Amino acid sequence: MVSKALVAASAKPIILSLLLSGENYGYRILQRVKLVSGGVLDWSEAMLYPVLHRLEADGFIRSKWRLSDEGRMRKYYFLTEAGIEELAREKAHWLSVHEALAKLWAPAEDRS
Amino acid sequence: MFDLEAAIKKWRTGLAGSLTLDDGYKTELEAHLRDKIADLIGQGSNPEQAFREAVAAMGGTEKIDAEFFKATTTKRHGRPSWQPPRFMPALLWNYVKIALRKTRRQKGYSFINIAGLALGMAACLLIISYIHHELSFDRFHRDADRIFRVTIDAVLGGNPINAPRSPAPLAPYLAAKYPEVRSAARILQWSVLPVRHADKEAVPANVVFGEPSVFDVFTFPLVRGDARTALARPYTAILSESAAALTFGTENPVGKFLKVDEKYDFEITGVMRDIPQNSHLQFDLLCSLETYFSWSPAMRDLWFGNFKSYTYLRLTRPEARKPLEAKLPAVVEEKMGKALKALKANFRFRLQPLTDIHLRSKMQWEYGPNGDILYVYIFAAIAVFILAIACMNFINLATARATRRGREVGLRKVVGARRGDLIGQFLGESIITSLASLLVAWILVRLALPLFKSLSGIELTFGLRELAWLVPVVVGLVLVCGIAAGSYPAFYLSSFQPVKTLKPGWQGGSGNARFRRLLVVSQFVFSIAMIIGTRTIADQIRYMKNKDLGFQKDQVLAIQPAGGKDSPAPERVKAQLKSIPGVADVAAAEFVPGQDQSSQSIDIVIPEGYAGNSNLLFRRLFADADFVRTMGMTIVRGRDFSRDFPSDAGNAILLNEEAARKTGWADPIGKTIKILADPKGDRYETRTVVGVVKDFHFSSLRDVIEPIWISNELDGESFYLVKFRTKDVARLLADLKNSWRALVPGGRFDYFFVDESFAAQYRSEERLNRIFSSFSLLAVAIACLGLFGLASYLAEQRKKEIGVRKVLGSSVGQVIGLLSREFLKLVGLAALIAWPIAYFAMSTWLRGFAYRTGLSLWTFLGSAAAALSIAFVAVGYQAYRAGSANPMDSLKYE
Repeated sequence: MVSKALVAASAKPIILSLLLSGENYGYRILQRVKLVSGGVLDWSEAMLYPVLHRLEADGFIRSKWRLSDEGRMRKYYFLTEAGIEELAREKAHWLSVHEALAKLWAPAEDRS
Repeated sequence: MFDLEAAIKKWRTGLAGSLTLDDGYKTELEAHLRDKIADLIGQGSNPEQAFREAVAAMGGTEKIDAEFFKATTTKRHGRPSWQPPRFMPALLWNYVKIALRKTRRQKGYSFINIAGLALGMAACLLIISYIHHELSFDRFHRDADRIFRVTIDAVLGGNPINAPRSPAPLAPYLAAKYPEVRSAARILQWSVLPVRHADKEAVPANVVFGEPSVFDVFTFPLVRGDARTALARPYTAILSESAAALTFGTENPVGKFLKVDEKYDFEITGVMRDIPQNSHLQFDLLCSLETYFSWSPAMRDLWFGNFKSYTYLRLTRPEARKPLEAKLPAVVEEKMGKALKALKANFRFRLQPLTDIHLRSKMQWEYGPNGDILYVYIFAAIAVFILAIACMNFINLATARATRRGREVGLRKVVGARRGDLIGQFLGESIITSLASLLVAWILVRLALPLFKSLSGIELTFGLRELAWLVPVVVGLVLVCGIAAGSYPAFYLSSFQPVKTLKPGWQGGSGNARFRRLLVVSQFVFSIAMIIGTRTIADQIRYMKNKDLGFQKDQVLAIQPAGGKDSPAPERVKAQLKSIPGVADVAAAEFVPGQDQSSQSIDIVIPEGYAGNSNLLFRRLFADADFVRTMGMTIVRGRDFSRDFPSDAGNAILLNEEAARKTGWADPIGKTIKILADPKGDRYETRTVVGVVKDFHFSSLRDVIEPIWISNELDGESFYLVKFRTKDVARLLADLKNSWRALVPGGRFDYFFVDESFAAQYRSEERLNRIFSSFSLLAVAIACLGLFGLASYLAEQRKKEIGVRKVLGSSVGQVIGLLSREFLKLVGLAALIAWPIAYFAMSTWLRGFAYRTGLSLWTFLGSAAAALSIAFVAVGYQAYRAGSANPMDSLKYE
């Protein structure tokens, strides 16, 4: 079980990264996250939508209503310029964290 | 049929209460829900399942609101402004006030609740203390798990021997030879003897012999004296503190002398703290073992032929037991091998954990009477039952009275209480009630202690030392009761919907009536089963006491063997005793009914013309020619021993019916029987059967009647059996004592009445019965208390109905019938369930007796009748009150 704090911290970069490949709607995002993480990240609906709304309020993503193929109204989210910049920053942060951990966890002889 | 669209619409309406969801948000969520449902249906769920699952995953508005708050807030912690705080101290006072107000307003109801719980808790506390006492035996010794007792498991000359005694030289031998034996100690029982200091009055004391290492093995602290040297010399002794106070008063006894049995002077070399009640070893005076060896020097090195001492070992580690036990056969072989081979005996030593002795040891020659783990289990079950009955009362009354709190629940919910708050409130109330009950229970326990002592013979103490285990028990009891009794009402009450309860004219569910019936039935199942148990135990005791034993046990007194080499000839003693007025007959015999028969020998016999394959084993009884007559036994065939036939002595024998049956003879009179006289198996003695005596019970009715042969000879020491016909027993005893003193100078006059000693064998059953009957009475009382409360409530609830019925012409009797019918039906149903349970349990118990009473149909019917009539009294009173009330009062509108 991934800790609550980590889930909360990783939600933003994950959503931004997902939207990088194109606009998407809530239910699909939830499923993609589950799939990509191999089931480790299983977000609840109650958590996803508030985060989406928060990101929208912060200007990183925007949304528009559209009629789906099944004839249902769906709210699609897509990245803004600010969102792409934010994702780059997030990516840098996460990579540096990842790098540090990778170094620490590497076998002793590999360390210089 | 499930309508998905309608369900979704309803769900969406449910979101209306949210503070954060605008319409767009709701639409988004709905789209999500529909996606998920479509997916689930695609995976094979039916629409209803899919809908439920999707809604459950989405969570309620509360959860979404909270997440929304978390995602948008800048505060790191905190609660959304629209949520009530988790804990509101201001409400606490309100809770207490409401609880107190309810208690005060509904005095009868509160009384029944608290009294019922208190009675149940008091019973439970007593039983827990009793169980604790039983389980605590011998655990007060330091490293009690490393102390073991050496026991014998053997077959000697056809006699199975399973005894906790061992040869005297064993202890020092084991201590010297095996390093894992840190120390070994022997204890030998002497007797209860009068002890006296100087000219003060003699007091009885339980006297045993022991050696200095007793204080290494056991934790018996000395108040005065040095444990290492106090018992080194002959005629030294250590006295218990209370015996010291009795014999010496306030003087320091060390260095002074104590006269034991009016004969021996012992120097007191130490005073030890009194042995706790929960020790299987009990004594007041510990004399040095050296004293005993100075009297019987041969015993010191006698490996075989004397099993008098109890040997206790303190090992270095508890796990050393098994390896050490495995080494013991070598000791047997080395020291006793030759003698055992001659006897063709099987013999081994075992090590028994000290802490098993009290509850798990039932051997012959135990140090004293032990407890029984079975009774510990039985009482634990009773405690659980009684507490369960008391908790069920609470649940029943609380749910039945739920109507009264419907408005409160509704109002609290309207002003923001969540279900959890209400559950907390109600659980808190029930825990407080159970705390109040505990205080009452504590007083009851203190009051009941003397009663409990007279019932069980155990003196329970509640001192500082007991607090250590009592406090957790009591806290646990309060929590268990509070939660067990409170949780159902709490969940039930907190589920009320304000919309319903706040509507005027809400009558309310009167609780889950089916659940309440179930509880009433289970209460009475327990109660009825316990009544049957009580009756059956009493029946069995009466049966055992009244059964024809095959001999007359009344008005027979037995005098213990005089002991010593210079005991006078039996004929002289008998003639002397017979001359005392009031004495009808005197006989001498090896054994007396009701005494421990385990040392009675069993012989291999071969009847004349015997065709069977296996050896016949008959018990042997040496008795004189007056025995059968004195004991009032019946000769069914042939004749009794007689002095007219000089050949009888040493030749003639009597058989009991069982033995005669075993021989296979059509007519046993005049037949001969060969008896193995020498364990080596080569010498037989031939005896002639002159008569058959009716089967008689020589031991408790737990045991079957065994084949027995009675020989007309006396060997060694005998009991004298005195049949008397006088009302003035005191004078008779004085006369007997004088004659005895004259016959056996310096000998002790120890006697007992045969009927009493026979009855004493049933003491543990009688004790069981007394305790069982008290607790079953209690169980019934608590159950009825609950019924009383329930009936009063239901009568009140149907007040208007009863009023209408009366106006229309119902009689009081009809109203009583109306109200009691339901309860009586439940009690009747309980009886039907209790019967097979009780039947099974009690027939299992009875199977432990070779001679037993049947389970009487009347006991079963009677138990139901008793339960019904008590229940009728409890319900009937309420019903009468309701029925005789003036209908005007109930029908008048407000």
